[in-house]
Amino acid sequence: MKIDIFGLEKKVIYIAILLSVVHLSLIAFAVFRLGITVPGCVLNPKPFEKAEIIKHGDKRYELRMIAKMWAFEPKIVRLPVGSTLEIFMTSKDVNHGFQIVGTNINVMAVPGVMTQAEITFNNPGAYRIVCNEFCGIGHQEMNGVIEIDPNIEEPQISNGYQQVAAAGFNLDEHPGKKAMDKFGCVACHSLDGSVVVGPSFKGLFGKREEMASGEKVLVDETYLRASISDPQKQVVKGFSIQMPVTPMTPEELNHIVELIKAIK
Amino acid sequence: MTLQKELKLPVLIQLCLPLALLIFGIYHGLLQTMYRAGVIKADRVMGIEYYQGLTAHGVINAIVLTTFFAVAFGNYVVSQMLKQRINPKLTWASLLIMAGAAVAAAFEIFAGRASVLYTFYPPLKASPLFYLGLAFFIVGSWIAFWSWISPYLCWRKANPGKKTPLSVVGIFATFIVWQLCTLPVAYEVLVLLLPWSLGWVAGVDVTLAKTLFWFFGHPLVYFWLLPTYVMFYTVLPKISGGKLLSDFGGRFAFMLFIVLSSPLGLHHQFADPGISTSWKGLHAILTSLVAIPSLITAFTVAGSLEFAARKRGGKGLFRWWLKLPYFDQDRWLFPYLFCGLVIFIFGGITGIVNASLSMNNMVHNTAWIPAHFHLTVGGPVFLGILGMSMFLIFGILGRKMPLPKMALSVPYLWTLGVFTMSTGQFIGSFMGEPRRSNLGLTYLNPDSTAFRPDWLTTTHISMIGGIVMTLSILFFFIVLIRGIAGEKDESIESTFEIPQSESLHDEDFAALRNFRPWILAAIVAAIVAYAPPLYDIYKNNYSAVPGYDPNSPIPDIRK
Repeated sequence: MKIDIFGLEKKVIYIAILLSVVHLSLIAFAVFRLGITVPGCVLNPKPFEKAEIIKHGDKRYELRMIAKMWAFEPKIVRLPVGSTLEIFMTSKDVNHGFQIVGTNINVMAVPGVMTQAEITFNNPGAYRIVCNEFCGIGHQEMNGVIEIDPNIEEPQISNGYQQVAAAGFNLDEHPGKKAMDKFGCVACHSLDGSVVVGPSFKGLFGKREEMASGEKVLVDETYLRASISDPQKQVVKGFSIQMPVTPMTPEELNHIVELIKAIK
Repeated sequence: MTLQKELKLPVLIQLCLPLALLIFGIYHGLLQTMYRAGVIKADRVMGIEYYQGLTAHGVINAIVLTTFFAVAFGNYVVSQMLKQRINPKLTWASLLIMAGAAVAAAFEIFAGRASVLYTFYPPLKASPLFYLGLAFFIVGSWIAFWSWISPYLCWRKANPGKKTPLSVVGIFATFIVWQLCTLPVAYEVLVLLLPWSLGWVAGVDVTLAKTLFWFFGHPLVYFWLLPTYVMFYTVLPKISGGKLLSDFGGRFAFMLFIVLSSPLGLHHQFADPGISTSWKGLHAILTSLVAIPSLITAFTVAGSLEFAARKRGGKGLFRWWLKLPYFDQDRWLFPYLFCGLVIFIFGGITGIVNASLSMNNMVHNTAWIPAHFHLTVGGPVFLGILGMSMFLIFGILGRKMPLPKMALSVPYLWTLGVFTMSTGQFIGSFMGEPRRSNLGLTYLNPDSTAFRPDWLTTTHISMIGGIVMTLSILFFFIVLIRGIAGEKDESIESTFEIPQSESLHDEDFAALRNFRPWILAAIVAAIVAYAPPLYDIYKNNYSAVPGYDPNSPIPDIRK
């Protein structure tokens, strides 16, 4: 039996080209007709230092988001049903991923570059945000949520430590908080009692902590100073990620210790 | 012996050294599936941190093993087919540079100074020695390629009018792709990252570095794949008892891969800001062109298998599939290649999803991505490397296959394992399961506020897959070590060669007899695809950013 192999081969090439054309047409349909697109260059980006949400019209909001090691600011966004959210995002340090699970939003936050994305939420529910690009040892901590709440009229954002705001002083004005921001302490040690990479600062002072060695130690000023200067010396039981040594001035160290003492 | 005598020892080392390192690579692969299922809820096991292990897994399995194998296989094929002298000094130089560089990079990873994953995106910063190791590793592989050029030209001179053997065309296509695509990454590593890592410059343009990485990173996957394609075209038809359906099909596919491998890397950056949507669209279109050589290969290889099966008495439209030597102990290499083909069907389809511009939004950086590339580089590429490495090692040393049944079980077990693992990851990805994340510390930890109970089932399925894959590799090493420890058989040693299939049909085109027009087309295609986005990045002048140790959110602080 003689088969025209070259004839068949030519058919395979035509079929391959035809499949590619059909495939590309479907992609074009998704982009141009359904409006599902990928991020591009943002013309004239307006740099921002602070995470905030700005109202631009009826249920139209602009969210300015900061991704940093290892948290999203804001971490929690609450919106009324039917809100359209235009997200501007950048990174303070390394590359981060930003996926709103179950939606078409899955973009990167890159230092020095602005990312833009837009989405409308028509159904109530909690939409999880996951950082899906490796950003250092605390990467798995980096998540957030967008809550579409039928019971609210105005949007709310928070970084997840609102309880501390009621501590009797303005947290963001405290020199200790400024030092903590500078050295990235809150990337691992929360201020609201939630356990992130390391033990929370809330209620830490005066507590008896059990060390990995089994020994119980009173958290006093001496302990705090020693732990910040030489993190590997004593490690609290249940925590394993190694804290780096941070080169801070004695003054900055004092401010940080004062703040930890104040967060009851 | 069909291998030049002086090359015997270096080729053996090129095959065995990465297999020895693979033991660490596989161990860290298994551990990851356990971390990710929440079975291990820690940041490290036995002193090795999760992302450190992940870096080791990626660098060893996807860069060191694949490149060493391509060089070893290339040395053997060129020596056997052309019978021209390869300068052994160059072979040794390439081996020593690659081995030294690989050991240096591995040392930096295990010392905890390079936990930046195998894509090493800045601003995460590794130690200078890690970047130097990568650069020299690539240079070593170039030297191996250069050592084949003179034997090839001598052969052409001595055999005027004769067609270059298809397997040599395949090996040269592999290394032409490699030579072209490693230039941008060499620039990234040596000009952007190394001075920055040494502290000579303060910052680096993240978008430029990442774009140069993927200018290299996607052709890299064809560099992984093409040696296995050489086996599919020249070895598989022979050991299944038939002939290659079409010599033209193979030659044309290899030439097309030279042209189409490079101009499509932006499809890894669809989610990145700072690169225009138009250039992303252009690369999506160019990516879909790779369907052409892939479908030619699917047709030619399946057709060759059908020819072999019918020769063995296969009948019917589909029943002939039953007649292939799936469990033939004398042809134990067959299932390594065949299972790879089956896995690759799913690897290819899921790859089309990734490259489809906005559809990539569904899967970008989710568990879908590792599931996809374990069905490509972890499927046909890895099984081809395992099977052919064992085949060559036994052949060069003159050893008999000691445990044929166990050797046959390896590819089938691996297929079962890799399908199970990726099924879990594919389903998990639709629920938002990210790749590259130590899920056990948070998302799979009931004590964490981020706990996601809906991810438990899929991550456990993946872990079972990981255990089966590890078992398969354990069997592989048992067979390999038993074989090496066995008796030497002079008759095997003297007659051993890589099986080469005859072809059933051929069409002779002058253009397919010469690499030059295809290399030129490749350079033009790369310029057309990359000049506009690179010019944009240059013009936008994104600010240079300082480096970060993965352990600390403070810039440029090392432990």
